[in-house]
Amino acid sequence: MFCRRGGFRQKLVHVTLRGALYGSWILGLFPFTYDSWTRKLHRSKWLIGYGIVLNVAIVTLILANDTEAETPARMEVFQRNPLAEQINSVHDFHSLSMVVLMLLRCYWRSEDIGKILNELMDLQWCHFRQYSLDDCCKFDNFVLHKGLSVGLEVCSMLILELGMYPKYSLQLFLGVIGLCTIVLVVLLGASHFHLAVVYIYRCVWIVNRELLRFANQLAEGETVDPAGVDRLLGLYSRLLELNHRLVEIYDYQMVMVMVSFLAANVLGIYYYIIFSISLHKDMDIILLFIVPQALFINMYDFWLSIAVCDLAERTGGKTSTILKLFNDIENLDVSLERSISDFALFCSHQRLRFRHCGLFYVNYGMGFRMTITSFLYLLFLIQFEFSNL
Amino acid sequence: MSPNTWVIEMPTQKTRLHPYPRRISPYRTPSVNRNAFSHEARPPPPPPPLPKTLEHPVFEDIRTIMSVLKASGLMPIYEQLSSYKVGPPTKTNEFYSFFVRGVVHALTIFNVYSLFTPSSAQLFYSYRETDNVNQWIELLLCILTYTLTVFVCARNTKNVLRVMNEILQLDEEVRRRFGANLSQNFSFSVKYLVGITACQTYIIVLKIYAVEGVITPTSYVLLAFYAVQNGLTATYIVFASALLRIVYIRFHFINQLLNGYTYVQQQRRKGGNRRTTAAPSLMEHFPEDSLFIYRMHNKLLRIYKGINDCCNLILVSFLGYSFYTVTTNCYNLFVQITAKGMVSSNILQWCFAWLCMHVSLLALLSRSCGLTTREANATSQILARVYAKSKEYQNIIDKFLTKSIKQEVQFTAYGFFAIDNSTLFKIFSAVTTYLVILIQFKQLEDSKVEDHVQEQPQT
Repeated sequence: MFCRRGGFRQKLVHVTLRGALYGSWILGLFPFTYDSWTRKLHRSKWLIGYGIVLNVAIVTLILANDTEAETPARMEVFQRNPLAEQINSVHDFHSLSMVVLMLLRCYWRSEDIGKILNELMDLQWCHFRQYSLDDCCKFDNFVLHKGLSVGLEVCSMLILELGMYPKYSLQLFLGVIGLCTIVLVVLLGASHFHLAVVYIYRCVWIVNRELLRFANQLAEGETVDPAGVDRLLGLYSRLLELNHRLVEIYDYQMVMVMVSFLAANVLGIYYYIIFSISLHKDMDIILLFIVPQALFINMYDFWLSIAVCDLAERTGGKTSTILKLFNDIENLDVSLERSISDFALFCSHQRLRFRHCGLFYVNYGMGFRMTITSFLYLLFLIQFEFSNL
Repeated sequence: MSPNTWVIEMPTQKTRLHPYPRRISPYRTPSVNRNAFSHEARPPPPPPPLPKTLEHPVFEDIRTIMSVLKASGLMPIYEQLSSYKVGPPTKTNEFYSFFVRGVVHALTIFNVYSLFTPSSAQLFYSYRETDNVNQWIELLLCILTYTLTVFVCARNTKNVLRVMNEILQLDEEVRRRFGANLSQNFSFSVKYLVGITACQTYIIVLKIYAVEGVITPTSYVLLAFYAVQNGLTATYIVFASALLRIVYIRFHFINQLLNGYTYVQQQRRKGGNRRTTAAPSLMEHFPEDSLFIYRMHNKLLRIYKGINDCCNLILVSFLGYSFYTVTTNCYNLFVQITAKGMVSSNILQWCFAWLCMHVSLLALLSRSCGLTTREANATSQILARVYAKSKEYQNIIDKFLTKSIKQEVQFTAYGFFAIDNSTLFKIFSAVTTYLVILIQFKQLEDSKVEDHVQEQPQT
């Protein structure tokens, strides 16, 4: 699955994917061992135990070394606005429950995750290995962007935590290390879903390319074997089923992560406004660099998670458009026409979409609506603040 | 096949075009001079003339708006290779566009610099502080929108030419097969152009009258460039709408063609023919026509998507800017109307001029998008009505219908939302929401001031 291809970009992608894999193993997020003989992943109870012990230790470390409340800037904001303090405690509780849920779901459904990953590897090895993958730039770009965003998120967390404190202590360092590790756990856990989605996207992209090749061949008067179209339909339906199972497993985690990201952005801007406008603070390094960078990186990561689902959805939509190219081909073989019709009917009734908990589809439209809603909530919060002036 | 950029590569036409006998148009009145949608029956015209000479300009219907965009560097100054093909611009023309875009960016930098320095302060004097901030943001948004428009246009030069060539190619096929000249009256684009110019001039004059004292040259430059930026962004939106109308006409043409095969139409025709001559078999040409229509439909969808891709970002940016302008102007109007005895006719006129311009542009854009989308989706509905006509043609129709189930096309703003008639409603409901929030803020501000005034005498 992680086969290396030529070119600098491909090497970078390979390194990023390897990094995500080893990082997940170290943090106890990936409780599987790989058997290279059978090319299968096996669930390991030892790794699950290791993951539970490690993460409980990290959370305890954070709770034991919680120096967050002592930040002077934060204290000022909370004294100025008690509502901000209440919201902050709700957000903290939400973050903790998100970590617990992410880890529990990861271990609890590990058998299903293992099956999905094995099937995906199986598909890759048996059916998609022979196709050239170098053209799929969007896959490479997404993997690189995701790796970059995870790295930036951890760095921004470090800068945010260390930059806001006037004096350093051992307790602070332990707390910050624990916090960064748990952030990495959450980000890597979410990126497992996104990486699986981008793998599915690449397979669908290959199916589309093959269909397009068939359409061009027919237009040029060549013949196409109907079995080829049937094979593609079989692969497509397997990919859609895998996607469906994947979304079902990662439902709660992704909803929690998205809510957390949005809440962090809204609250970040809200604190920024209270600090800079209501408290009439002068522009210093905290206001000019530390808080804005954290906000930008957070938004970047959030948008990346939306963009990958939208990319896969649009690619799934293109399959139907490509099938329309078979409409105006004369003297199409009856069995081929039937295969194409089957494919078209399948596409119209089952689509590559990402619906979490039956609540919403993840795509650009939803991302836009989420952004608008966040802006509205921010306005409401500012109105509360304004009435306290 | 280029990596990831392939959307749908159409099969080569050489392999598909076969020597069809020239067929008549949906209204059975073949004529090159005939408008495809003139329903009045005319006597059979003389045989169609040969394709016109190379001097016959392409896209003649929208040449005014295109010349404005070409002059401002937003459109490539393409070369016309034949009546149905345009080529890339020559080196000189390319250099001209490049130069104009460079000047625009230089002026943009100058304007942003002026906005952040006190030199432009005299332009923001007449309102309260919040209004000045609003106007300042509006100016920044305008600069951002126009700069984005210039960047996107420069990047999409090849795509625009590709879309234009595809439209021309399609026209050529329709003309060769049906002898119909697909043109329509695009006078709305000229009217909009005049309207935009008048609105912008009026706004600038109002602003100049409102400023007290001698206006500095920097302010003149800022104002003039602001007007030009607004005007050109609006012109681009009108151009996008005109392009969509062009696509709409083509969709409408093939839909009319199919409509001729529906039961009701054929009954009507049969009734007419009974009085005249015996009608030939009405479904005789359906198989070959259907293939042609399916191909045209695929091509039109590709063109439609191409246009959407070309102006995706511009539309998002324009709609955001437009939304902001409409909201702030509505708010200003509200403040002016509710203020006791302080109504300024200058501000009222300014707000009305802005509202007129933006609302009409939004209406035009959403209407054009809505029309084209509706027409694109109507093909399968019309085809479904032909289905019951004859059993032998059902498999031909099935081919199209099975691939159109739940496959509605949409013109979107970067995938964020679909642009159609409902967009106008959504924008105005959002404007109302934000207006209420702004008014609430104002009331809070007023009550604070009142409290402050009441507290002072006591102390």
